[in-house]
Amino acid sequence: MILCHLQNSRMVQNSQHIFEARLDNVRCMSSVLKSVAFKDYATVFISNNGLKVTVEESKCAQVNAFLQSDLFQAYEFSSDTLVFRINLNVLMECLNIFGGAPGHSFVSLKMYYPGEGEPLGLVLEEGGVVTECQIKTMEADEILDFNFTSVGVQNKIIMKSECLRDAFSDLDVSSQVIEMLMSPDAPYFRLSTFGHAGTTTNEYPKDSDMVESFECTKTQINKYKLTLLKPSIKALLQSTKISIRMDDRGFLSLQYMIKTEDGNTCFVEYLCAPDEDNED
Amino acid sequence: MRFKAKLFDVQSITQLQSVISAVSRFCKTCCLKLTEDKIYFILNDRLVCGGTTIWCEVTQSSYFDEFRIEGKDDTGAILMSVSPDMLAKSLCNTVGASSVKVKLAKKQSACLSVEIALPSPGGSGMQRLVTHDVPVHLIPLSHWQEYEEPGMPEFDISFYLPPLRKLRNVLERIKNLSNHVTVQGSWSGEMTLSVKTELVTTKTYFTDLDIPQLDSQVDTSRASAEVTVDIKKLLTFVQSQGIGASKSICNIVHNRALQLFLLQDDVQLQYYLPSIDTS
Repeated sequence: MILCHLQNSRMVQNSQHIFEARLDNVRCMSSVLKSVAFKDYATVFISNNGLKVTVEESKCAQVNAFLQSDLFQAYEFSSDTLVFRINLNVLMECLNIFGGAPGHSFVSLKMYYPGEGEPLGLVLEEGGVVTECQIKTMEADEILDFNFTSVGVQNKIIMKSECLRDAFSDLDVSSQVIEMLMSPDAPYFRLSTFGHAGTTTNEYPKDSDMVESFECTKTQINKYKLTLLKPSIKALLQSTKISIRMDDRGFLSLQYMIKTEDGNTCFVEYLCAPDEDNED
Repeated sequence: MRFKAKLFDVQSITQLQSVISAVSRFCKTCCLKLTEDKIYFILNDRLVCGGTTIWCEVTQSSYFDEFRIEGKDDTGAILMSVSPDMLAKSLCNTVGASSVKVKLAKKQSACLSVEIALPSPGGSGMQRLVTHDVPVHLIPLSHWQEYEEPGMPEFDISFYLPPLRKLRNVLERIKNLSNHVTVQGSWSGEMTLSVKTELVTTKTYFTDLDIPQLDSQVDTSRASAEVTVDIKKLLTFVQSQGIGASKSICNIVHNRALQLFLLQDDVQLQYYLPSIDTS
């Protein structure tokens, strides 16, 4: 019924859009995007598989949110991969225009993109009230390629998010860096910070209930800038599981599994380069 | 000049408080006009300060159990300027109060003295008496003409607003996108809120709104009208839903002004918002 309403709405002039998608509950999308919304601008990739929203920080860290096509109730795309840059704050305000709080009635969404240089169109509906938005898109800048492949991965841990949530919310903010140790031998997985007040460490044994899978082959100790890691906390708070991987160059990959309201699973990936300054 | 009033009912105390705190969101100081039947909160902004007008009238008898007033002239009215915020705060802590007395007093300066009788926490049957003195300035007779009821503008469109909670959600979001919103209305009961900036344009359509009963003199020649106003000021009006209004009416004077009414049995809030020229 909601879809009928959208079709009848005065907005639908033609269906000749390169990209068109429908979603019955907009919160499925906005909650995932919220976890990457720490910068004003994001780069959006549209392909047959779904949407990828990328946000970069200081050319050292990158967050990708994946909204796969089966998250949407309808998904039509007829082109090669499309890329554009968009103001993420504006997009979030538009998606939440009927109020973002949970427990409200469902807000349905139709999203379309007529083609390069055109604005991204949104049509939202809640209880007979319709909102149309046109958000300007810009040409995308080049995106960093971290070249993080599963071949290079030395250590990998999959664990429940809750235990890391506590560790991250209690991090010593006076510390510049966070040190991560991953090792096949004790202490297996350790997080340390070095602040004004002293050093703190969190250790996780590999046989903890929280650890679901432990595949470490080599002892690696790497430092990451805390300011770069901060944005990933948003995703951590929403996620149920997290996969922590480190490759042979010391690059860090954090993959968050986020369950949306209607039971779908979305992934947010965070990539970060190690902090080299302290090594000389 | 004398004024003395008493309230005994806790519910009417909290209701009166919510009306005053709704007024306090619009302005720092306003004029309080007391007459035998009604009390009024009036703001008459000069055009250079934004030109908004507020006229809030409260039927005295539905709140006060005792109300005695002796005015200066034969109309029997008293006008004073007061901070509605201070007045609202003085009525804040009235949980369990057995009575509230308000009187015009002269202490160091003229003030509204609010006396709240609260039960003692020990349950000993003793009473605590809390007194707030809210300073006021009495407005001399020669200035009273500034605070007369605004005339009804010749509006082009009039309709009942959709539920204010819905309107509030939308306005709270779009205020982050722009400072101005264009309100468009039509006699067929449609209202559109639109925002246009360099980055984004949004349009929200509300349909099936009721049209109020109108006098036959109203000119309905124009099918639709629009006006651009300050989002934050419009939002303040929408946020005053706390007074529990049953109906709210919106009148549009094309490209000139927005006139809004909150109507409840014994409270009426009228808000006049001039248009902003964005071109």
